[in-house]
Amino acid sequence: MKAGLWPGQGIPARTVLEGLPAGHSLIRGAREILGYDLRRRVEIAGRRKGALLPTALAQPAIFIAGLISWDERPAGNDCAFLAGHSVGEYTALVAGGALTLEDALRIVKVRADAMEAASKSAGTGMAAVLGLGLERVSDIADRAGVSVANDNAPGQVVIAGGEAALTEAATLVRAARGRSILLETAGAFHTEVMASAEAPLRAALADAHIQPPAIPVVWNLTARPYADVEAIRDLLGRQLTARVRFRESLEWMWAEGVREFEDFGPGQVAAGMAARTFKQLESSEVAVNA
Amino acid sequence: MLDSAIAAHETVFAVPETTTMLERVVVAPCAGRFAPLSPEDFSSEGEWVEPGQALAEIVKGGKREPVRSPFRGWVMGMLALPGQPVHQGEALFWVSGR
Repeated sequence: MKAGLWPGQGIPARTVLEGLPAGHSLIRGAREILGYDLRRRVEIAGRRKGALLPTALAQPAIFIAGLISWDERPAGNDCAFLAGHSVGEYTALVAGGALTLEDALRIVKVRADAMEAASKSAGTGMAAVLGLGLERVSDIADRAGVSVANDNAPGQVVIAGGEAALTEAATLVRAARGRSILLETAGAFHTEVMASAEAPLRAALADAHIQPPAIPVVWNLTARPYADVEAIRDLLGRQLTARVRFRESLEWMWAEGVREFEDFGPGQVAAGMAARTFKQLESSEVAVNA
Repeated sequence: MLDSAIAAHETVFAVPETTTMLERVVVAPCAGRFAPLSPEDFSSEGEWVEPGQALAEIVKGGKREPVRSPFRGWVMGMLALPGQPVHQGEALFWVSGR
């Protein structure tokens, strides 16, 4: 059994550009909704090696690149479940048939603009914590006054909050023999800092036609699939300020029998998270059976 | 007259402008070739470092001298390329103490 995966925002501009082939019909269609040439903007932003895209551009670009890759999958490449990390959840919803591409892109545009605006109002950021488990990181986050924003994979948790609090957390992480890497994001995504972005997002969601997904989508917020349309609307609204439970989503799919995954990109970040999670599940399964 | 002149002078200079620099530079401890650590040990951009933590090595004549950060902060950038010849005191990393 196989799962289709999509990443969130932290993808280098050049990797995103590789997923946006020149002249593709989806990019031409996106121009009508976005009002600009997506590929051209990503190309300009990606001139500096290793550059990340600004939030307002990154989210629509990653969304479209992920859908182009999905549309070009070979026939017979079927997925039993779909899951996307943060903005990738919208790509998963279009792939699963719950949202039309046009509606989803309109929502993603509103979401991206609102998140960028929310980021500008506060000196906040995010940091990846490597080498410590969720429980330990949660304890450090509580002590430092930051939030656990993403639980990505075993030993890979992202914290978010004010700059001074992140610095305090990094000191505690180092003392616990873990590592902290400051992420190049505009603000503390998936925390209360994003609360002001929720109202415009909910308004955009209210206007969209949503139907139960034909392929189950495993939600960031609950790590379970839901088919109820009103629940979907609510989950997408709450997702902005809530933890992304990607590791738990992967674990749930494993328990359902998923042993293969495909990252539809751009990049292979989601595949990296899945490989790490599945490897640990595999080794614990071997240990139990031994 | 003199008192009022001094008072005016003090008013002008009583609160001097101050600048606080949170940015620091880690320099090469000796001359040689710059060798970053593997990503498993240290990420060149964005990682939090504590004083004394090794960030890279300088290789010269078969010997490897660690480059240690004297500062606490986030490593915002690596300023030398792998294999680049560097001289003693050359800037290698930018650390932000914010």
